[in-house]
Amino acid sequence: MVLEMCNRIYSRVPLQDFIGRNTELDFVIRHSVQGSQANKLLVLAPPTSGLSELLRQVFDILFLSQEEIMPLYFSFSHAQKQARKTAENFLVTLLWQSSAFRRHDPGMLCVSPTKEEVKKLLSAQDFVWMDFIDGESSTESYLQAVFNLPMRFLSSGFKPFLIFDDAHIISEMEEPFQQLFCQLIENFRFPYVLAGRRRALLSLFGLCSPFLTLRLNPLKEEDARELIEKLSKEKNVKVNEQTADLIREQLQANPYLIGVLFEEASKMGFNLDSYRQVEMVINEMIFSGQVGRYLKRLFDDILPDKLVQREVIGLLHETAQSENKRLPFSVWERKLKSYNLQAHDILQRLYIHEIVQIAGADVEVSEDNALLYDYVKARYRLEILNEPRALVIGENLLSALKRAPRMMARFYRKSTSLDLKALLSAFNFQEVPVKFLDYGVFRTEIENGENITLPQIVYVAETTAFYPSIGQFIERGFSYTALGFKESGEEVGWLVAQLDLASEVTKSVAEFWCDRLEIVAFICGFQDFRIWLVTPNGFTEEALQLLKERAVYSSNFQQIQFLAETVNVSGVFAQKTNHNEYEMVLPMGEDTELIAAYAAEEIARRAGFSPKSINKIKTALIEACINASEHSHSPDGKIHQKFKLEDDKLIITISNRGIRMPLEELKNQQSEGRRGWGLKLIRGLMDDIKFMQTDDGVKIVMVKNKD
Amino acid sequence: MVELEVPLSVFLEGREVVVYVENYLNKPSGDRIEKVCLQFLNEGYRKLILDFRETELVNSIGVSFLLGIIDACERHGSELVLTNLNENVFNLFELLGITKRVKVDFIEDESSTRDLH
Repeated sequence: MVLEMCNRIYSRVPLQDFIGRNTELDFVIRHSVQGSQANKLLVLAPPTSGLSELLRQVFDILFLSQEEIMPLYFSFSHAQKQARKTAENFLVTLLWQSSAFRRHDPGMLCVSPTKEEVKKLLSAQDFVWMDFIDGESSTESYLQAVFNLPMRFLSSGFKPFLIFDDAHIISEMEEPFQQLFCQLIENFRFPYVLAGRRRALLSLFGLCSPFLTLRLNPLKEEDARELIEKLSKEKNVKVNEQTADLIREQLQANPYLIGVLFEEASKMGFNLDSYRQVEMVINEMIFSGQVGRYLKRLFDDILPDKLVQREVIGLLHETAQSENKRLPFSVWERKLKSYNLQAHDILQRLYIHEIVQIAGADVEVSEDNALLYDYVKARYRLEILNEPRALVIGENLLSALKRAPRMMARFYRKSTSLDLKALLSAFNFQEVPVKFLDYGVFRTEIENGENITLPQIVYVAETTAFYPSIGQFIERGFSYTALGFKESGEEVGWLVAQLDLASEVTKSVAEFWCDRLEIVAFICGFQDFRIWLVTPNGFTEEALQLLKERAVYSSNFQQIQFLAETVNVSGVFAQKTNHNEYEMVLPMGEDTELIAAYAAEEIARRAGFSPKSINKIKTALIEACINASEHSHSPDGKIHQKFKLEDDKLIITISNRGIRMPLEELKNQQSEGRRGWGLKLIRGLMDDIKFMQTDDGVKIVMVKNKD
Repeated sequence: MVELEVPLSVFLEGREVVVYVENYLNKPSGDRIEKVCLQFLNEGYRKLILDFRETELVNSIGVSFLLGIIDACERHGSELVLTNLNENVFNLFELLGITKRVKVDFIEDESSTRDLH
């Protein structure tokens, strides 16, 4: 295969479609070149986060660039946990990949060769290595010889970059594999990657030599949105803004699950433009689709014994149904004892795959992973209660539909909550005016000149993590507890709650929260603590009196803004309302361009543009609208308009669906006789104009600078 | 008495006619004005005055009808005057070169009148 013609070997999506992971990709590739400080890189990822695809993309980039780095990729497998066999797979894989690299032949990597095939193709030098390795009799010496192979590459003048995928599986391998492997990789004198489940890797490999870590987090909001838009176009499955948010929230911005959803919707011939459609497809994914199959395989891998698996499904369901979604470890232990099983071992496996959390003496399930617990609940009802399948499927869909608006309400509230964690984390003995923390002083608008020294905060977590019961009164993201030191060196705890009320906080509400947070402080055993209530609209006189008596801090959002500026924290206010951007969609025709013109006039007037400039903007906008209406043959007859104020300019973007006129034709359009004056006018009236083609239409961007 | 083919405000004085242009000179209003102007030209009126006192906005399609009227006046050997233009409309006509082809009375406000041709 000719190298230039091939741009994918192991990766499953084209590089340009691998959304939201550029930083991580760069990091790993940089490590392949510069891994001198610490050769070991641990890539820690939650399940199904696209880790393998990231590593495959790295391999392809390095292989296809054919520079001095020789990439080698090996993935451990649940299906093969036998030490000698795994080592043999490693040997065959590495020899085959290195041979392909030296021959500049990515096509070789399309097949999984047998040991005999590899032998036939090996160079004399490779053959010596293989022969030498084959001669080893004991498992220990065989493993030693095999895992020294990359070092032999190094000594032969190559620069190997070894990627171990699914390295957490090593914890399940038969001994002496785990121990020997950990010892052998410590001798590697070249950069390598150990990637896998985040909850297993650090304890497996984070003990000996220095290492770097890279954490693969869920996709950022904007990346998840981009992925959804891309898949929507690619699979021809419609989404809207509301369902895009629901998909992102319900699937926790997980690229694998989002991909599966669109695939399934496309197969079913469904659009995803209503909550009902989204939930129906997700239901299908769980009961007869890829997600159900993936979870079944996962449970089969973790718990091969069907009876044990059934018991664990029952226990998981019981945990999910219990108050606070927790069950004491002793309950798990008692139930699993009858199978002669160590509850600890099983929970450790469930923990690594993020099916449960271990919280002190309790086993906890997270309600964030709705898909997983819908699956568990369904299996519980089908396999343990023997309920009819149709009933279980139908009721699961109903409960998902009831849950969707609640989930979105939580998301909307969360998106307007303050980032109190960031604010608290920035506390570092700064002196700030008392009025930032005392609403009584703040509202008098009289400077009393008094300052407070903030503590130095060293740890912040949700208050529910300290005292789960408080979760029944406040949503996540609205209350945090912080631990730190006072300037005197004594320990102190700060307990903060954001009370999201439309009016002032009354005495009874303030009292309720003081009581609750005090309980948390007592239960946590804080000798010294501070309670701080934060609310958008301040506190009533009676409430302030109470807070003063109980020495509780009080702030409204304005005080928080001042405080954030003082301690130099940005982004405390999550709300993304941008008062500099306006959008409008108008139907074509019937003089609707006048509506656009008057809207632009108001926007420009507010921004301080002169009447003369405003008139120019209005006329140019009218021309752009006419242009869109006349030439596009738009199927939906809509003109999309965006007005953005930036520094001293107004940027207007007009776009429409329809025929894509070649850019050159647009740019060079001349007036002919009586018609065709529009673009000349726009050019004459605005300071800058750009034409862009979209997938199915044209976009005009016009800029007017302030006089 | 002239019976107009389309509804429009006009003022007749001898062989001169004043046509009042609407608030927005676009395709429909431009079409109306052109029809009326052609009607007067065909009936032998020698001077046409287009009064823009009500006109706030003009688009390029409206301009195309105005160019049609200018051409027609030239063919008929009649005079065309544009009057009471606001600054915005005047600037637009200037940008498109219309002010070079036709006499324009530009009134900034009630007290000042200037002949720009």
